[in-house]
Amino acid sequence: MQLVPCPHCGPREQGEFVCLGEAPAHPVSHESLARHLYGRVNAKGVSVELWWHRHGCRQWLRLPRDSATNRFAP
Amino acid sequence: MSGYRLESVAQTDRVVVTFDGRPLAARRGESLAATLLANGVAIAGRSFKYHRPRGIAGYGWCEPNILVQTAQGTFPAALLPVADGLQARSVNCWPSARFDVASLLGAFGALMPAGFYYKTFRGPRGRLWPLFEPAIRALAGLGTLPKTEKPLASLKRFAHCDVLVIGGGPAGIAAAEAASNNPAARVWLIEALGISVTAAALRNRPNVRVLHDTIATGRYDGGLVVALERPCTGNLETRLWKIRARSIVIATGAFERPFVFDGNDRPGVMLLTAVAAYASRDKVACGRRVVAVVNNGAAYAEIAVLSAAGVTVAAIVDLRAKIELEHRNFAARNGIALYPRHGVVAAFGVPLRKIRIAPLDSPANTVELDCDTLAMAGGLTPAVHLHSHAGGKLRFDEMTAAFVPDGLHDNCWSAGACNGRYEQEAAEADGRYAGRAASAAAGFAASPGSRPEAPAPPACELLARWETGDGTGKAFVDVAADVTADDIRLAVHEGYDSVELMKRYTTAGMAPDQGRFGNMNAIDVLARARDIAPAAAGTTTYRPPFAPLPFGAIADFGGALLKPSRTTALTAWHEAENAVMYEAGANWRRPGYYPRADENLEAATRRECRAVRNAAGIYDSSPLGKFEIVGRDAGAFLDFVYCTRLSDLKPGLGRYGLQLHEDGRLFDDGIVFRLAPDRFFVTTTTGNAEACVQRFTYARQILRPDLDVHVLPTTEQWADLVLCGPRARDVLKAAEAELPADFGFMSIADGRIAGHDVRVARAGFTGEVSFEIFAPASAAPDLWRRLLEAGKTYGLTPVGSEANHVLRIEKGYVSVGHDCDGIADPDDLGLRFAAHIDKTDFIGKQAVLRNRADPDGRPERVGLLARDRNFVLPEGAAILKTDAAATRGYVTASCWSDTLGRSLAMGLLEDGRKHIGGDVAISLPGGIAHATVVAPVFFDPKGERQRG
Repeated sequence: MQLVPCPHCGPREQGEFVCLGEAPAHPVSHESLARHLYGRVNAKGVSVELWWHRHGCRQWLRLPRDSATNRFAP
Repeated sequence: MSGYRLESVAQTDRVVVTFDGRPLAARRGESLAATLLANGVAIAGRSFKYHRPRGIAGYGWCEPNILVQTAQGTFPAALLPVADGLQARSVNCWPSARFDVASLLGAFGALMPAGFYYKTFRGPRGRLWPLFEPAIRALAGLGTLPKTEKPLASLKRFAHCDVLVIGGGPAGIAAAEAASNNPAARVWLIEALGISVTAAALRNRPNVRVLHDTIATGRYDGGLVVALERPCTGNLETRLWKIRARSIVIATGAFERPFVFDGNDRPGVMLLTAVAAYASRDKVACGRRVVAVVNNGAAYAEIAVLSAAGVTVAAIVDLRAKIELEHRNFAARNGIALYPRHGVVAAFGVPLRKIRIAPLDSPANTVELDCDTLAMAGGLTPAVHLHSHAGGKLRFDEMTAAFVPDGLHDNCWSAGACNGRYEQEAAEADGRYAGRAASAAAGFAASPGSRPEAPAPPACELLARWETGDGTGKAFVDVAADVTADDIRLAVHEGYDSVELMKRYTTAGMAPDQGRFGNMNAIDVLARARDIAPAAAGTTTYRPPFAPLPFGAIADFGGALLKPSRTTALTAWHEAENAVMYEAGANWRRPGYYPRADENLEAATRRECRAVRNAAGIYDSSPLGKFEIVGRDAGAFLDFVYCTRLSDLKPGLGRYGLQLHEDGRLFDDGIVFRLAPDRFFVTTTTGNAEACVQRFTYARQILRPDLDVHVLPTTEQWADLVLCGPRARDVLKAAEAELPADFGFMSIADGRIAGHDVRVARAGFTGEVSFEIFAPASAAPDLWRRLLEAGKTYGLTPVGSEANHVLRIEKGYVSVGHDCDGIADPDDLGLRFAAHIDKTDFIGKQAVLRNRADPDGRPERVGLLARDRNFVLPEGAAILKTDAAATRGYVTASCWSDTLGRSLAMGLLEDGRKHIGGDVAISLPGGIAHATVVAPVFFDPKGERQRG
C-alpha cells in the first residue's frame, strides 16, 4: 500500500484515493475520440496521473509517478 | 531417530499434549516440533505429493516438513507453541502418519515426473482432468479448514513508528540500540521466536517497543510491514500488525542449506543449525547418534554447541579436502571420526538408520555409517525475502555462494546475516550502522558515517557443492513441495530452463515454506544442468507472505463494522413495521415491501401497487442522490455534465436530464431543478450517488476549471418522502400543507407540511400525481408519521421498492443499470427527447455523434408482451428472432401488473423499434416463450394522470 503525497493533507494511504491513471486530453474532437477513450501511453518512467482524494480533501490531484519504481516523483 | 530431553522439565512447566491421539509430555511454551523430537516421534507427517514419511528437519520458520492440524486450523509444528491440552494431528495422511495408504503413490514415483498431472490429465489429449480432479484434489493439500464459523480469536492492529527493526538477533538488537539512542525516536523491534534474547540495554528504553512471538510476513511500498503475532498467553490466537515505519532495518538472519542425495528427506535427516538449536534452546537431543555433513568451517561452531550440550556426535563428513587445524583438533579431542573430502551418497531407513558416504573423487569406495540423525550444514543463505518483497534488488555473492541485498531500497537497510555478515561481531557492527542510518533517515540522528567494510574472507572457506548423491534414487531439492533434482533437470530438458519457468513447472519453492529449504539448491541444480553460473541463473521473485498467514488472521469477521450499512431517518420505522429491507446504492437499507400477516412478496407488492394506482402510497426514497450546484456558471456546468440542455431552465421548474459516459453510453438520469438563477438542485439515481460525486468534482476541477461553480453533495442531509396516487392531494390537505396555488407538474417550491419546513417537487417515478417531499433528515420521522395519520382515511399505504419497480415498468420508465447495457445510448433507450446533442459540448458528445452516424443494428428498448399473459418472462432471458436461433437482445425488466391484469416486460432488441408489432421468441431454460414487441409504455401513455 503506497503513501500518496497529497499536497493538502500530507502523505496518506492509497486506500483513501481513487486513481484514474493517465489524464485523458480535453476537449475531445471527432478525430481524437478513439485515442481519448482507449489510447493510453503507459510509459515506462514518470508520467502524470490523476488521483482523487476521495476520503480526504476530495481534490483531484495531478501527481507524477514513476511506473518503473512505483514511486511518486518528489 | 530417538530424541530425548537433555534436561528434565521443571514441574511447573510440565504440560500434556496429544498428537495423533497419543499423549506426549511437553514443556509449556516450547514448539510442538521440540515436543515431538523430545518424545521420539520420528514420523510426524507425510509429504505433499508422494506421501513419503517425514519428520522434523528444521527449526522455527526453517522447518519445511511438518504441518499439523488443530481445531483452529493448520499450523507449522515448529511455529506452534505448546499449551496444556493442545490436540494436534498429522496432515496429508490416512489413517496415520506412520501408516499412510496413499504412500503407495511413492512406489510409482518414477511415473510421476515434473508436470505429471498436466501431461497426463490436461495435455492436448487430456480430457481426463474433470474425471480425476476430485480424487487428485482429495489426495493433495495439507490439512483441512476448521469447521467453526470463526476459527480464530484474532485482532488487527495498526501502528506507526520511526524505525522498525525486524529480527531480534545480534544485528537486530545492535540496530535497535543504535536507532533508539535519540529518545525522541520511536523504535519497534519484531522478534520471531518465543525465546527472547533481547538485550538488557533495550529493556529500560521507553522509546523502544518489542513485539515477541511476531513474524514479519511481508514488506510493502512506503515502509509498510505486515506481521503476525501469536501471543503464547491469553485467549487470543493471532494479532495481525500493519506497521508503517519511516525507515526499516531488516535483520532476519540466514538459514542453512541442505545437501542433495538419495533419501535426504528421510525422518532423521535434519539441518545442523536445527539440531543445535533444539539442543541449546529447548534442551532436546534429536538423536542418540548424530553424524554431521558439512562443506564449510563455520559449521564446526554449531557442532561444538551440540557436543557441549551433551549430544553424541559420532562422525563429521566434510566435503573439503583441507580442513582447518583447529577443527581437526576439535574432532580428535572429542573422539569424533572425521571424513575429509567425503560426501553423503544415500540415506537409509525409516526412521534414519544409516548413511552411505563416499570420497568425492572415488565414488566407488563407499563407507556406511550408523546414525539416527544426520545434521546437514551446506552454508548459509541470507533471508532476503523482506528486502525483495517491495522490489529490492539482489546480487550473487561468490564468496558465500548466495544472493545478498544489492543496495538500499526504500529507506530499508538489511543488516547482519541477511546481509551476508554471519560472524557475530561483523553482524553487530553492521546492525549498529544500519540502526544509525535508519534513525538518520527518519530524522533523528546526524549522518551515520560510512558502512563498516565487509569482513575479510573467513579463514574457513566454503566448498560450493551440494549435490553429493550418485544420481540414483530420490534426491530432493524441495522437500516441502516434493521436487527432486531429476525433476529440475527434466524441466530444463523440456525447455522450462529459466528459473521462473522451472519454478512454475516443478512447483519448487511454492510450498508453505516458500523455498527456504530448497530454493538455493534448485538454482544450483538448474545452473549446472544449463552449465551456467548460479548468478546467471538468477532467483525467482520473492513475494509475501514469508511465513504462512492463517486466513483467520487476515479475514475480517467484523461484519457490519467492516461494511457498515447506511440507514435513512426512517429505517427504524420500516423495521418496526416488519418491512423486508433491501440493500440499495452504497449500502443503504431501504424497504423492499411491507408484508402483512400471511402475505408473500407477490401479494404485498400487488396490494402496494393497487394503493398507489387507486388511493395513495408513500415511499422512503431518501437514498436518492442529491446535489446542490451553485455559482454564476452553474447552468453552463450542468450543460457540460449532462447531455440535456439545462441552462435555459426557469427557476422553480425541473427537467429530466441524462448524463453520458465518455463513450456515449447512458451513465445516469434524474431530475434537475433550478431554485434560483445561480442555484440548481440535482437528483441522481441511488446507485450512482457516490459516482456522481466523483464525476461532478472531476468535471469541475479537471475538465472545466474555467467555470465558477461549486458542487455540494446533500444526499444524507435531505430525507425524501414520495407521496403519490390519485388521493395524494387530499392527504396533503389533511396534513395542512402550505404549497403554492399553481403547483404544476415538474415544479419545485419551499413550503410547510404538518408544521415542518420542506422543499417539495411535483415529480415521481410512478406515473401518478406525485410529490417528492424533501425534508431535513431530522424532521423526517415526525413528518412521515403525520402524513400516514393524515392519509388514513384516504387509504395511504407505505410502499417499497418492489412496488416501485412494477409501477415504473407499467409506465415504461428507464431504470439506469436495469435497462442499460454496455452499448445503449439515449437514442437506443428511447430518450431522444432528453438528449440535446446539438449543444456545443458535453461529456460523451463525440461518441454519441459517432453512434448516430450508423444507427442500424443498435439495441433499442422495446416493450414485450408474452403471448401467455399469465407468464412473467425471466429478466435476463435472451430474445431470439423467430426465424433464427441467433440472440438479438434480452429481457431487461419484467413483472406482473395487477393494474393491467397481465405480465409485462421490457427489453433491448436489435433494431427493436422496427419490429414493433412483430413477434419474437424468448429463450427459456425449458424451451421457448413467444412475445409481441410493443412500444415500451403500457399504462397511461399520454401521462395524463401524473399531470392531473
